[in-house]
Amino acid sequence: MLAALESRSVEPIILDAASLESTSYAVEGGKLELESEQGNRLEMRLEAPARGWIRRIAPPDWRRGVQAGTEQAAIRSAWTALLSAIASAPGISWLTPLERLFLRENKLVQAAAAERLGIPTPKTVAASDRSRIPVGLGDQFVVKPLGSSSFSSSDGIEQVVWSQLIRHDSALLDLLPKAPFILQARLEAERHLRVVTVSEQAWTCELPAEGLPLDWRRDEAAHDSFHPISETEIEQHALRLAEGLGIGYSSQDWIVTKDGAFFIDLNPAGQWLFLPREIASAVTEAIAVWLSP
Amino acid sequence: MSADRPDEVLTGSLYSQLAAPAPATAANGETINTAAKETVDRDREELEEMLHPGES
Repeated sequence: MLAALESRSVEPIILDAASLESTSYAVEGGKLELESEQGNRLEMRLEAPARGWIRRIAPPDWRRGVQAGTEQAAIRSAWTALLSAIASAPGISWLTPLERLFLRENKLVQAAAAERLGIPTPKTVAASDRSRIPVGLGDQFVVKPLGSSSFSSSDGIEQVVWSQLIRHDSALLDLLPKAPFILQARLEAERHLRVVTVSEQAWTCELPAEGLPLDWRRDEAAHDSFHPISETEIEQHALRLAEGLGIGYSSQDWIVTKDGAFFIDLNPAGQWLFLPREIASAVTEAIAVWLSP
Repeated sequence: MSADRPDEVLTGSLYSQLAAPAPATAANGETINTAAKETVDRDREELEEMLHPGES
């Protein structure tokens, strides 16, 4: 991304919560002053027109595992509040604004938006117990986390919660009252698609489903097995959905069955660099173009 | 892949029951597999704090 911006003679200001910690700064009224450890000084008027893109708030391990209510939690909160104040600068237009980045990541919100827009999507519910699960989900359905899909176990090992198949009579469903999960009708996938949208452009890559686990992400090799493909109608749906959700970037998962294509879910800051080089480059370039004055 | 265990009495939550160790990370610290790295998931705590400071 930096190279793409550099080629357009754009000099970006890159900030996250971690880098702020090692930066000398002053925020006063509508002015931000920064001085890096290397002595590079920068002054920015926060009402001045600019464009911004939020890739991540902080590195994955930044102040991770801090216990709520502690001094360390307060310190972390202070750094993110400072970043939030800068991100709220009235002059900055964000590819996806901060609040939407968070709110639109919600799979229930996405499913409701797809339904509202008439975009095919599998039946999706969250229910507090087995008796409230609609019959229409079938005897077997997919269960996936509504909250974060990863966490650290008590022994500090990073855990991932994959999408998995579950039967309606499974004892696992006795645990539904403990934490809300997404329950989604099962689709017989012929192909998996990843559709990436940037503003009004979209790109699609496909992955044949044969031989892959239900959640293709469990297969490391699958990440390198996508191929570019033109899917005009699906891309139009993907762009309508992104527009409906008010997000300038999205990384969407779709499944193609013998009955057609279905939107599964999206990530408003999802990955694209694992896709084939020509697609990854095109996405990067499109973000750089959007950011360029 | 099925998560069915119809005869068991289970404890914890679906999180603990369905979780598996995350895939290994690359030398540069980035997780290769897309599951553990979709960024908003990872940044959820920070985002929540930014939107609702002091409530966590």
